[in-house]
Amino acid sequence: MSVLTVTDLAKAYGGVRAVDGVSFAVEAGERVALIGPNGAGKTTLFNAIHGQVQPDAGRVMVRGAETTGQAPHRVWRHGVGRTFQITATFMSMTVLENVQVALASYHRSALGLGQALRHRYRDEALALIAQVGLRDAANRAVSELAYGDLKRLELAVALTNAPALLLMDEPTAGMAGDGRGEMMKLVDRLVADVGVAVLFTEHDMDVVFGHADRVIVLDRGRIIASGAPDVVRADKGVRAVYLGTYDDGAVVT
Amino acid sequence: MALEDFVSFIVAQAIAGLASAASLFLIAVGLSIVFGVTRVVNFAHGSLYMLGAYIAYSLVAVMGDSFAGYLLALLLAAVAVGIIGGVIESTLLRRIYHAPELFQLLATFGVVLIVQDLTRTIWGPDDLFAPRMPGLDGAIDILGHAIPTYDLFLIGVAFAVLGGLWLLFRKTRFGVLLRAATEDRQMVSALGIDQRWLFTAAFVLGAALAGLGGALQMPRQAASLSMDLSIIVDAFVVVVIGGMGSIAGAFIAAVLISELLAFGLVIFPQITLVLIFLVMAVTLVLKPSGLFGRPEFLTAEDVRNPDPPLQPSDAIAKAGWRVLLAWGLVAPFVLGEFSTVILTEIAILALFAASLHFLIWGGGLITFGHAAYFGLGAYGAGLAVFHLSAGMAPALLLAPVAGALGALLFGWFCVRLTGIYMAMLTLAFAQIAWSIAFQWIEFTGGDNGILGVWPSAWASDPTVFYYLAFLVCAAMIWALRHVMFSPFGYTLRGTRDSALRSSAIGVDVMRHRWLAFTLAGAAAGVSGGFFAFAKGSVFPEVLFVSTSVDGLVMVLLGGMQSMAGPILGAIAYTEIQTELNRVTDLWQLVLGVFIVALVVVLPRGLAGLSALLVRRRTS
Repeated sequence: MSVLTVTDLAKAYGGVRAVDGVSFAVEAGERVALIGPNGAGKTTLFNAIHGQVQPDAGRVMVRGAETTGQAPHRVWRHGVGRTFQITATFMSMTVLENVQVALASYHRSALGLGQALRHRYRDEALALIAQVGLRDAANRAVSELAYGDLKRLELAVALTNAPALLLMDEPTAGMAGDGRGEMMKLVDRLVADVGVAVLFTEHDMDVVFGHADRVIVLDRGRIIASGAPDVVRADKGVRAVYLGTYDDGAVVT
Repeated sequence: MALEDFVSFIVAQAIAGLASAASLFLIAVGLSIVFGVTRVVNFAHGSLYMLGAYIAYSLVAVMGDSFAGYLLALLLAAVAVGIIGGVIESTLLRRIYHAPELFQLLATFGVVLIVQDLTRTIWGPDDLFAPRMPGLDGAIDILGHAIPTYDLFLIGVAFAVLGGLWLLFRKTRFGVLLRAATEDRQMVSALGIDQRWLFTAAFVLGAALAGLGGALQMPRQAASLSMDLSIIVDAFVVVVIGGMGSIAGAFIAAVLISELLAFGLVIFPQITLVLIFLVMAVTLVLKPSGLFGRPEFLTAEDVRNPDPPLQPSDAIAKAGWRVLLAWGLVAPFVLGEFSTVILTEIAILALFAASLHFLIWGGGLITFGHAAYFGLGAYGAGLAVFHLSAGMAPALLLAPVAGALGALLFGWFCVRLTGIYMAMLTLAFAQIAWSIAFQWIEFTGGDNGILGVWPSAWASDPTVFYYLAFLVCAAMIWALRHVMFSPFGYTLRGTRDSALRSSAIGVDVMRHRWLAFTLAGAAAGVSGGFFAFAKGSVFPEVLFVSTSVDGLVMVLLGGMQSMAGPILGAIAYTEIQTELNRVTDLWQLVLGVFIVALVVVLPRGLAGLSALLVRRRTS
């Protein structure tokens, strides 16, 4: 059973078909990159899978369960973790507290009025924080973190529900060169260790071709190519609509 | 009733409704234009309407003998109010454009208080009746019903203003700039337009429209000191239904509401308010941004000035809490028996302020109608005593239930909105609750209130009652503080910091906010119940917007970012008010100036003061 199955998904804004009949599947332990020029529909597709946007047609299944049109907080219960292009974290809390809040939600105690949160799920939270390399920053206020560390924190938070699928919107956007590589190595390790599937969008072609098992190319809301990185890189259609803008693939290598 | 009678009745009611809609439209459209351009919801807009009526009254007395003179008087009143608006904008509003929404609402409410007392001082407390407009003082027969010609004149004015605004917005450079500023403010500043001029001009236009609306009411109703708040709530309802910043929306919603009132008063006089409530509720559920409003842009969460993480009390803070508690226990002995009345009030208001603080600071939920739950608690207790002859204990137990049920109902709608829209809706609900308490005389006693809500014999001694109130309120405040540290409280804090992240980790943001609303409503209900027994009576004022503002001032005065803030605020505010009442009749004026000063000087609250002092010291 695929971790994620998207079937004939469509979403239009006015007359613009942002996502126009997209179908694909993501398997456990697979890293799939979703690429395409600006306005290709990547973000809309992401949001439709995650439930922020109601699709007009089509289906989304997570591990065999239908999640089409469900709100993000319900999609999350099916084992989907999400990171955002512009990080979304709880700025008035510490790193540890950010993860503890997510764990409280995972353990269905977000409505708990009893024991203070700081005494709960501490070890579990610290383990996740260590996993993304933020151990030393656990008690720091999130507002003091560097941007790369915010991205790491988002990843730790996204891992709190032991996800089967990670949706990562531009995981390395806004990071410097070294940080990008480290971030993606972290993701690679997670995939290898726990078998999580990762669907990510990315502008940096080094990251895409260095870390994806499969690449899906979106243009004007449709999938125009899909397959192993080398196959996609060689695809003439892809070069024409997308990589052509990169001086005939010079940047791709 | 014969068919033609029925038809003529319908037509007559429809025309009466349209005439009422005229003024409502003028107010609402001005509010909407000002909001569109400046992003400030001007609470004092109703005060400008009231000033229009009073100034028109005085001008008509001088020059209103002829039709032309009367008309000129009305227009001059509008111009005068426009000028007053310009003064308010350039002295006050300009300083708060970048302040948080709550502060903006509060500052403009300060203006409401100032205008109230100034108007009372200039024109006196009594209602003022202007003569009818010469030439338009008759009625004409339409299908057998006598329709006042002035009503037809009003309808004509409304359409003229609508057309004039349409031309202004579509055909003039000024109008294009106003539209551009409404749609994209940064673009306007990029065009090199002097924004200050544009903002002032928009405000003057909105103020003049409000003044005209007030002036036009003079031949129909008396000028009174309660005009300002009653119209502003109606205008909020109109703008929420029609959509912020939309002229057409203001027009259609004004007509809708006025017609509902016109027909509702005939068909179901008791439930007209409920009808309006239902229309507003249905609109908001189907279209949260109003009929013609565009959806609010999902602005990035405010990350410019994040609060520091919550800290459990350190040794100093713990000592502070103990001192506060100990002082509360010994104060009646130290200050003497006479002080227990004020001490009781402080304890009750501290809980009220703490429940408000819980929502605003703990959850980022901006409410301007927290009086609703305080008042429902007070009425819950009072009505239990009055109708059921309940004793004090069961009545006090009913108070939080009443507060929570009210919050459960109102909150369901309010949590669907955010920011300023939410603030306006909470206010509208509170005012509707107030109107019901005011109008449903058989049940609530209306303006005469409920009397004889006295504590049981064992607690009838003021000192005993003080201890009861103090201990219960202190326990509740402690419980609210405890909740802020619990998973529920942290999750709520999370929804405040980032709703996006909250929903992405499985939190049902609306439901969580709704529960927080209900919890705060229950706590406010407890304080309201004690308030009823402390006063021995319940009056509609407990539900009025001034009660909500009292709570907000306490919270801001004490410092938003501190758990002890609401308590210190309640102490300071009660003392200030008691002293002011002793020395002056114009306490509203003083309070208004105080609020405005608080916001203008300390736009980040008293907590900002400490930050400011720290920065001074270190630099």
